Amino acid sequence: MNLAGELVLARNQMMQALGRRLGEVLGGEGAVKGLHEALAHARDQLAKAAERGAIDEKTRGCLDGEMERIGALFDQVFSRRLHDMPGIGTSMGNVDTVTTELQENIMRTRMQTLGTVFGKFPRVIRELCRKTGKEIEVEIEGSEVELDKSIIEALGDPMTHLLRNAADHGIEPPDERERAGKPRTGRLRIAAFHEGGQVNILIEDDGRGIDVEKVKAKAVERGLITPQQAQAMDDREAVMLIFAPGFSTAEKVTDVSGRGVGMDVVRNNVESLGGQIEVESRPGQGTTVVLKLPLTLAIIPSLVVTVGGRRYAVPQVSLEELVRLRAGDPTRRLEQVHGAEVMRLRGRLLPIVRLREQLGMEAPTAEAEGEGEKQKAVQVLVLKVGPHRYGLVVDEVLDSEEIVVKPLPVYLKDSRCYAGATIMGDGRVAMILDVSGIAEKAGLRFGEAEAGPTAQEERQARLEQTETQSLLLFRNHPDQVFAINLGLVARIERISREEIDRVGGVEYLRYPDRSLRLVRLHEYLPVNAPEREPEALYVIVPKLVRHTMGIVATDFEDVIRAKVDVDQETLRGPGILGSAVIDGRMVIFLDIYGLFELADPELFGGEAGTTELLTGRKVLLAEDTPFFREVVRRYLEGFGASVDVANDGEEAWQLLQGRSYDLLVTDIEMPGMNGYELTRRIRQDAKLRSLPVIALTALGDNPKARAEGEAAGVDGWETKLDREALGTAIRNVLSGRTVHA
Amino acid sequence: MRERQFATFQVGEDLLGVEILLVREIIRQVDFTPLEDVPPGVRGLLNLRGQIITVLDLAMLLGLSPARIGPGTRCIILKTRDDVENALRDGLLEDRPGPDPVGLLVERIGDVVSADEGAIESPPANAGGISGEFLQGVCKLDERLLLLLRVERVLERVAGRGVAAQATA
Repeated sequence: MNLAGELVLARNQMMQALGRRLGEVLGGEGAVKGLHEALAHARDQLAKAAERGAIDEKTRGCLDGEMERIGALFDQVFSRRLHDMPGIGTSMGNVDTVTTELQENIMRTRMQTLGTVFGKFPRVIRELCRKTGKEIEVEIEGSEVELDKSIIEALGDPMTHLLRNAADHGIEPPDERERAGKPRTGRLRIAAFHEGGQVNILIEDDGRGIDVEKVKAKAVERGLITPQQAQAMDDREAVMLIFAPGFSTAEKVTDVSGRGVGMDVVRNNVESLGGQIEVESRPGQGTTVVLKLPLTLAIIPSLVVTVGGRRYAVPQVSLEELVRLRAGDPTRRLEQVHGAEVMRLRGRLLPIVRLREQLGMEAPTAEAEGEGEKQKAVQVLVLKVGPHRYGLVVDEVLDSEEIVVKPLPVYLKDSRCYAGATIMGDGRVAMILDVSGIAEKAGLRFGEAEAGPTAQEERQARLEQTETQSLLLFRNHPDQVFAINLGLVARIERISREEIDRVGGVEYLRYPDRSLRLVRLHEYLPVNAPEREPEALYVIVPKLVRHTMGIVATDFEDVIRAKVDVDQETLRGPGILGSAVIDGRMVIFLDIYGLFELADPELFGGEAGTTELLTGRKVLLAEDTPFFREVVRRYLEGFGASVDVANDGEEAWQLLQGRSYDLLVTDIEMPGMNGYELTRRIRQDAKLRSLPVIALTALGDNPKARAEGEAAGVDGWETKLDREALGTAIRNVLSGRTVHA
Repeated sequence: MRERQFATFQVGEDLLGVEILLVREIIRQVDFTPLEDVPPGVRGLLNLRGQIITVLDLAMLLGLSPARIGPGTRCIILKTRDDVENALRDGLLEDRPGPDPVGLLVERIGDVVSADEGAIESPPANAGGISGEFLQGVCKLDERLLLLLRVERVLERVAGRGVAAQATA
């Protein structure tokens, strides 16, 4: 086994050495090709010059012949160089193939089927049933799946423990099952299968599941977490508490599953095999424990990174993704939260650990930092530790490499940063990083915001996926594309320049009976002016605005339906909602109310009544679509309110428990708890029942929907994006014209 | 009377010796990988023909200033406990190496010195700035004193007493 590892190492070293040499040769070959191309081009030019009569045919023939000779001579010289290393590429390929094959062969002889471990489980369960009077049926799948012998051997104990747990604590006694409407016989399923270069083993029962609240209470009681932490934890994190050291020193050591061995020991066992353990519990329906194991221990794929000029290997199994934070990119950067560094990644906060600090290396010298850090991107490895994630900042990411794992010398066993050592292609030793050890050393306490993909986050991902909008795309400069939500557009007119009147520095579009005020984007927003004004122009006329104006565009581009994630960081300012990349181009989203307000502050700054009512008031906005959420938030803030936003009904309900609000503005159609449901709950709540609720909906004047809204207890019902109607509704609701009973 | 042999080397101002039965080889190669977050005295890891050697700074472990790396620097690779199993069983060794291979970084290497068992005296509490606990004895040579290292104690400084316990178990 070790020999195979050494061979892989030797091959890597050889490849590296030969690769350098070959690179030179191949680089030379590239140069030859370039030379040939240059020569061909020159001959082409020569022919063209002759055609034009710039040179005579004789000179052309002479020069052409010369060039041909140069090419031939170069080929000769170069082919001789290649002959210095005859067939080197092929033999290298051979060595590579043979080594890989040999390694695979040796591996195979070390592989054993899981059947050797699984075989004893039915008996274990039968015995347990006899003792406890339970009825359990065991199903085993994937006994033929193979794993490295050393892993198989080490799996017995932790798996037995998990099985006993499932049978003892998970599956209920027959009578209890019957009462719960389940078959008397419990089901215990053990299944093994390959998945992405590793083996997963499931232990699944159809028992009562894990009582999250009980787990939390016990963890609090044992001082593992604070009550606050417990409250902030979602179910998935709470379930993982059972693996915390000191959690499962069961109060009554049952003969069956207790034995004083904690689940933390099981977890350690699995992790020391390079594996991971995950638990999923469905209350009342059962629990699934998943063991994820590497196929073999000795050779692992890893990513090589550097810090302070030293190389470190990070096991790929712990690596979730690589994030490069470009300097000066405001949307992706490291932030400070409560004095700790974090990174925002797709809406979740990841705690950041700097490897340099954890290793106790000195910070880079001032000059290196001044020069380097400013321009250089920050490399962050997103690493997983159980269900948690954190970002590890390194200097450079080099390459992925298969490494031979050497155990950590006993003299280094107290170093928490390292999991082992390996020998790199150049023969030097590099350390393998201990992903969970580093997190521990850095004092990361996972919880609250920095958890992995939580239920909330998955919901968020789902929401973001569903956001499809109809957008009108147009330009006012060849390089800039603007977008307006089609729902806000009344019409688009094609006009000629002559139709525009200019009165007192303001432009109007002339109609037979009236005129329309026109707005040029570049006059109010920090965007480019058209390079030249074409004869024909487009005027986009928004609706849902009392005093509408026409937005002038030089080009009308398209109407598209797109899923967009409006980035509100890169571009912002009055009149601009944000930007998004659509089909590889940046598109600027206009905030028409903001724009019109800039164009005519007197006309649009108004709504004095609403502003008076809302200034200093706290408004909760529940809206699942980020785009609408942002637009309505701006409207409300424009009215002077302080606004909290909720991504859906569920979140709004949670926020309502914690703070008091003067007004709720809610979308009707939201996943999970919708606007009707949210309103009904509010009306039934003793504390919240008098909270004014305004529903904003795309359902418009659908009488049935409206009736349902009123039945639920909505005070105001308005169309989304209509700022004035919202203002009026707010005035009506807050001035007490519509007071809810 | 049994004759014992020691590989000698210079550490600071002192001449030290380590039992020759414990020495696997002495190498010039000092291109070890320096390490952070490790106990003081551990300089780094070295790849010796595919085996990972922990490079220790003997001077630092003995409480002296760290070894400077220069042209005379050598690495004394010690055998492991498995390597000397027989010698230990036969009682040929007064000293015990560690379970994992180590290299002692020294600034200058000396000759191999033979000493009669009887010429070895028990160590003083402190010899040339080195605490007596790290020595199994001293031996008077013609013009200077040879301090005989007790490797077992030195290694314990790095790995804790666990190393010794682990092997006895």
